This record gives sequence, C-alpha cells and structure tokens, in this order.
Amino acid sequence: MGKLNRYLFGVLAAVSLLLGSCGSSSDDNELSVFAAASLAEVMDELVAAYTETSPGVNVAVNLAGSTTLKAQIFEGAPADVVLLANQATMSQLVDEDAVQAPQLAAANRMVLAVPADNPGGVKSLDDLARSDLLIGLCDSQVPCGATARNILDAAGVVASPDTNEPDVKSLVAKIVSGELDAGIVYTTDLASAGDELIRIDIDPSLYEPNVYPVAVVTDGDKPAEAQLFIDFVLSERGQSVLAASGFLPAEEVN
Amino acid sequence: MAELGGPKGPAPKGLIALAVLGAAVILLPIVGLLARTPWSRLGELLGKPIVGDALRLSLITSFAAAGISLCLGLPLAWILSRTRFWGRSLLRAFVTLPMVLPPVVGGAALLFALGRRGVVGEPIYDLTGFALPFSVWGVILANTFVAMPFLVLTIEAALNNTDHRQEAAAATLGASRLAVFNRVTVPMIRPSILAGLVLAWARALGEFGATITFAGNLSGRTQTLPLAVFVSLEADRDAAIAISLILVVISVAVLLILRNRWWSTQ
Amino acid sequence: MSEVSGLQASIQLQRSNGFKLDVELNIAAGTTACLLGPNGAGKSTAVGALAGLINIEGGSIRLNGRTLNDPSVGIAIPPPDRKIGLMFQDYALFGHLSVEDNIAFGPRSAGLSKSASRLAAAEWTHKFDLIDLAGRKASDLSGGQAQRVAMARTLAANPDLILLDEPLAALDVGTKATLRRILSTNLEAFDGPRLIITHEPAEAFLLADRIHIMENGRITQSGTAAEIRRSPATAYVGALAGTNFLTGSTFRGSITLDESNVVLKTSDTTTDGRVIVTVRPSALALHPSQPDGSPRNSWQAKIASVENLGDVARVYLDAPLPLAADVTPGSVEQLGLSAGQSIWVAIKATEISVSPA
Repeated sequence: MGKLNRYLFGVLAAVSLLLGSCGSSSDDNELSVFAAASLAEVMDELVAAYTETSPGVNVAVNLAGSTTLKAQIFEGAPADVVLLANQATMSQLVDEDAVQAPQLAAANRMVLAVPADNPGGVKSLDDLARSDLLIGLCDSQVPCGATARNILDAAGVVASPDTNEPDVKSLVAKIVSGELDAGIVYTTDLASAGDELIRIDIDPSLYEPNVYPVAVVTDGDKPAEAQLFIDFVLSERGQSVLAASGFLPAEEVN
Repeated sequence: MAELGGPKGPAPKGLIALAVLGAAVILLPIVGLLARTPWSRLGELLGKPIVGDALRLSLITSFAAAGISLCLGLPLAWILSRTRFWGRSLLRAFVTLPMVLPPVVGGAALLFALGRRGVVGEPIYDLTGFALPFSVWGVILANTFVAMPFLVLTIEAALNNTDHRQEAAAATLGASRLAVFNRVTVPMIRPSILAGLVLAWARALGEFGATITFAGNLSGRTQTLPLAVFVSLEADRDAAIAISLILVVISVAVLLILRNRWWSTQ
Repeated sequence: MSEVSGLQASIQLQRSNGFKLDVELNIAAGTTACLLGPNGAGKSTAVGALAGLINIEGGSIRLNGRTLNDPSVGIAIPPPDRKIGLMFQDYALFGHLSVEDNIAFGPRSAGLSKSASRLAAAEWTHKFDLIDLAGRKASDLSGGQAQRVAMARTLAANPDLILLDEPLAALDVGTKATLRRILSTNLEAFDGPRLIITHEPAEAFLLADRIHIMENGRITQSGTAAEIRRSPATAYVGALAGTNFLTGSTFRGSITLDESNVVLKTSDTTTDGRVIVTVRPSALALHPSQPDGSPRNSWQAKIASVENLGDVARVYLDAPLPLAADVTPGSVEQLGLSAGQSIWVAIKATEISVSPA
C-alpha cells in the first residue's frame, strides 16, 4: 500500500467514524419535539419542567422557522410533537393529515418597543410615521413582520421602516443597542429584555394576536407520549412557565 | 521559448480519487440547487422588483467594497511587508481576524464601533447627524470589513515573494520610495493585486452576516442578494432558489472572465 | 582644500550573520577599479553599502567631495540622492516596462515629464544601438540586449559613480566575449569613477585599470594587473596569477599579441579574430640556450623574479612578454636562475589556448 493510499484510507476511515458516531445518537426513549425558533428559550424551561414531572422521558427539541419545520415534517423527519408560531402553517399540515387535532398552546401580543432612554421621544404608533426616526420592523415574510403591518394598516399609520429584520431577535437587539428608535416586537421579547426597553402597548383590537398551535404528528412513533407532552403544556404548570416568559394563556384568545 | 514539461505519464489513481471527491464536495450542492430550481417559473420569480433591487445593490456594494479594499488594503499590505515597527505581527494577526470571526460577530462589532451609539459612531452622529447603519454605506463598510483581509493577505504574500532588486535598482536610479511603489512595486505584483481584488469582490458579493447585523435589511437600500435569499427562504423557497441562482451565475461569469484574461497564461 | 574628485570610501560593517566587512577603496575619475574575489568575499555587500542599500557602521563614503555616508556625524544620504548608478548582476530590468521606459526611468525620477524623459532616453537608445528594441518589453530581451539596456539605463540617470555587479556573469560563454568588448568601450564613455565586481580573473585583468583583491571581507592586495601578477600576496592571488593572460588577434593559428611583437603559434587554427590567450605556467619550458628541435614558440626573455613556492618554483618573466613559468626547484639550481638573467622560453603550440575576446 502506497503512502498516498494509506493517507486516503485514513481520511475515509476518519470520515466514516464521524458519520457512525453521529448516526448512533437516536434513542428509543426519546420524544422528538419540533418547535418554532421564536420559542427557543421557553422550550428549554418547558422541557425542564416536563422532565421534572415525568422522569425517564428524554425530550429532544428541534428548533427552526415554522415553514422549515413544516417542510421537514412533509419530508418525513422523525417528529412526535410539533409546536408552530402561526395558525396558517399548522392548517397546511392539517390539510395533508400530517398532524392530528391541533390545539392552541399560547398566544403572544405585540408592543411598541423603544430604547430605555427613548431618544426619539416615541409615544405612540403614530410616531412610526416620522421620517426623522430610525424605525425597524420584522420582515413581512416572517409572522412578526406580517402582524406588525396589519397593526399599522388598521391604525392608519404609514410607516417607512429603515430595516426589515429577518427575525424578531435581531430587531430587539438593535432597539436595545439604541441603533433604532422604535420597533414592533412581541410582548415576550420585552420580558427577556428587562428594563433595557420601554414598552408602549398597542390596542389589541387592531390585530389578531399571534398564536402557537401544538399538535401530535401523525407519523410519529409515540402518539401517546406525544399527547402527554401536549397535555402538560396546556396544564396549569405548563401555562405558568409560558406566562413567566410573557406569553398569554391560550384560553384568553381562544 | 519551449516550456519545460513536468513528469509525464498517467496521474496517480489516489490523487484522482481525492480530487474527484474534492470537486464533488463543491459541485454537489450546486447540482442540488439546479435540481430544485423552478425553471418554468424562473422568469416570473426573477421579474419581482425585490430581485432587481437586490441585484443592483449587490453589484454596487460588492464592487465598491472591492475598490475600497484595494485603496486601503494595498498600502496596508505594503506596510506589513516592507516596514518594520513594533506590533507589526500583532497588526497582521488582527488584519486577518475578519476571516475567522463569524460575520455576525463582525457586524455586531461594527455596530459597537460605528453605530449611532458606537465608540466612534456616536460623536460622528452627534456632530453631523450621519449614521452608517441602515444605509448603503453601512453595507459597503460591512462588505469591506469581511473582504479586505483576503486582498491584504494575497498582496502581502506577493510582496514578500518579489525580487527586491528591481526596487533597489529603481532607488539607485533616483526614484523616491513612493515612486518605487507606484512605478515598480505595483506593476510587478499586478497579477496578485487582481487576484486579491477578485477574492475580495467574491467575498463581498456573498456577504451576509455582517451586513444584516450592521446595515439591516431594507429592499432597495440595504437588501443585497444574500439577504434577499435569506428572507425569502422562510416564505418563498422558490424565490430564494431563483435568487441564489443569480448569485451563482454572476460569480461564475466574473470568475471565468477574469481567469481567462489574467491567469490563463500558465 | 581644492575640489576632491573621485570616490574615497572606507566601509566598515557587520552583517547579521556575523560577517565583517572592512574595506578601503579610492577610485579616481575616469578610471576603472575592480573588486576581484571568490564568492562570499563580501563584494556585493560592499557595493550595496556604496549605493546606500546597506548602512555602514564605521568609516565614510565621499564622492566628488560630497559626503554620502558618515555614521560618525550622522550623515546617510538615501540611495535616490547619491547619484550612484548600480548595475545588478542579472540587470534587474523592469520587466513590465519597455526598453525605452527602462532607460527613461532615471530622467523621469529626476522630475522630467514623460515626454521629456523619453527624449532624454532617446540619446542613450541611440548610443547603445537599441533603437530597434525601444518599444520591446524588457522581459523579452536576450542576455546581451539586456546588458546594453541595463548599462544605458544606469548611465541615463546621469550618475557620478557607476557600480557593476558581475556584469558578465549572467551571459553564456558564446556572447561573453563580445559583450565584454562592448562593455569595455561603454565604460570608456563614462568619465566618472567606475567599479566592477567579479570573481573572474580574466574580466578583472581585461577591464580594470586597478584591481583590488577581496577575501573574507578585506582587501588583501591592490595594484595593476601586472603588479598583482608579479607579486601575489596570498595563496588565492597566487592561484589567480598562476594563469597567464595575453590578448591579441589570431589568424589561422598565428597570434599577433597586443603587448609585444612576439608572434605565438597555436594548434587552434579554427578560431580567428580577437582572442584571449591563456597559457598554464607549467607549460613554459626554460632553456639556457636556444632549444633544439623546433618548438613552435621560443624566444629569449629576461627573468624579473624567482619565487620558491615549496615543491615548485615560479619564475616571473619580463620583456618581451610578462609570463609566469613553474619549474622544479631542482632546475632553478641547475640553471642558476636569478633575477635579471636571460633565458630561453619554449611553449608547444598545443599548450597555447585561445578563446574569442
């Protein structure tokens, strides 16, 4: 065997070893939960609380955008529970019989957020029409951006945003750092940003709040365990975890 | 003049196997992209105003960033290669930092420095009312930040490999150091300057993380092609693929033209 | 003090590898000096120091009365302001420029406009027979053409001193002789001091008025070619002087020498024209009377000196030809050889080699 061949063999051996170790991580006791990326922090807490009440269950969380999760489930990814950030995407899954009996797990309202020192002197939604301010929204193609535009339309405010952030997290970061004067974000974001942001409430009659539907995946291996997890999320304990992060209880919007 | 050929005979099979594997790693994703491209809807997808705006902005900002990288990076490379001063190795390490730094971190760092509340940005804003973030200048700056190291590294390597005697000869003929730089050094390393320029341009064209973090995302002002791909990916996968296809086509076209023009002589 | 012309240099420096250089050089205007020494003797370092590319640590460099470098008083004129032309070993032409623009580089650096500098260069392209090549890229020249361009480029900058680092080393044997002649003529055209660096004794003997032998960073002997040949100070010089060089013209095996009316016969009848004639000292046979038989070359010569080198004795001959002959110490005794004595010299035609000059 030549030097090069030995080298080639070594490379292939190393690669197959890596592949092997990745492939062997699946676990019979594991419940696979696909959740919207905007739920990242609260999912950790939900899972921690759930494993406290039901020891021995191992919950694996896969975080991605709702549309991506939908595509993954259509392509046969191993999911037991799916928790999305909007109703429309869940409806598409229902239409294809990919999930069973969706329920609303929580809702999220939107607020106008400004930096703690409010450099632009923002008082209400009307200020978003001011051209001297730097305004940020979520991109219209993600839920928080779509809802924000519905709010502005309903309020009759013509806002010209200076940036359409691809996700609400980066929008919040730019308001916190003072690079933007104002933006429309979720209530939950203010809960995590603490006193770095000033919250200006938005009239709830202007829009439909964002809801988080949860459902059992039809092709999942563990429908019973999946339902147990959903029951936990809807229980008093699960709802209190969600409320601590700024979510509204599901029943308030149901 | 007759060229001296290398050793003749068939290429070793092991080398071929690894080369094929290497090419596959690069080409397979492109094949995947082409396979998923909605060819019948392509015209309609590319006709969207968001695409035209992003394309125009991408071209302007990537070429501007490459140009600025050249104007600033060439002297920087020269200083690193031709002068000796305390902290030179440290400066060289920092100059290459944007190559390893996650671009998002780079964008955040740019905000801390040049944002409206940044260390340097705040006094500028207070004085002039001008802020870099959320402007096309912000995009160009973010692009320059990530692209310039490629140019500096390429040119510095070329400078370190040049024959110093031509520069010495120019000096004995009465040329000042600046004249030597302009009339001898730069022409001598022209191929490497072009290579560095192309690398920097390509990096700027594909820039995403630093741009979206520092300059935000607004169609027509700061939304470049990679940003357009990213925001479309969630809602309209077909549009995202179509825009990616433009990026591939532009990059390949420019690289092919430049390669044929300047590097095909070997 | 009246105007001092020419170069007065005393160069002391130490390289980072520990190599020490301590050299004194005085070159009068209109004369050619040569630094002759083996590779690694420090010749290029000395030239670099003169041109200002390497800083000296001690001594001083003065050119035409102007101090260019003197560390003791903190003077170090940078290379562009020294007016010292340096022709590099393989010429270091600017490959991206045309021949014309290479030559115009000096005038342009002196502040002339592009067109004015080209006009200045035109004089030199004409003088060096480069008009036909003026537009050609400097990277596309033969060795001989490149040497002419390099020389023209150096002189066009109007230097006060020219330094030539191994001007012929980059050339192949076939063109060397022609180019040495051209170089020799061109050197005459420059009226300042000229310094050539070489490791080839033939070049030194043919091109220089005064030779400085350089070994290990020091000059071990200085003098004219004849002086050095007559009394070599070191083993290295002894080995150099051990070869007899003569110049002349040959036609069908008959050599007419420049420095004497002796006609030498060589077995090489194919080479014609200007030649360098070399004869090994051991090829010279010495006889008390006219030798018998018919050696092709024999004449009566006067002994200048006799030197005992151990197992061999070197006899330096004077008029009519300055040659060295190696004989055994036994024959010195037997023939009673001593300075001032007349002796017969005989050399076989096969021992006389010629190469085009």
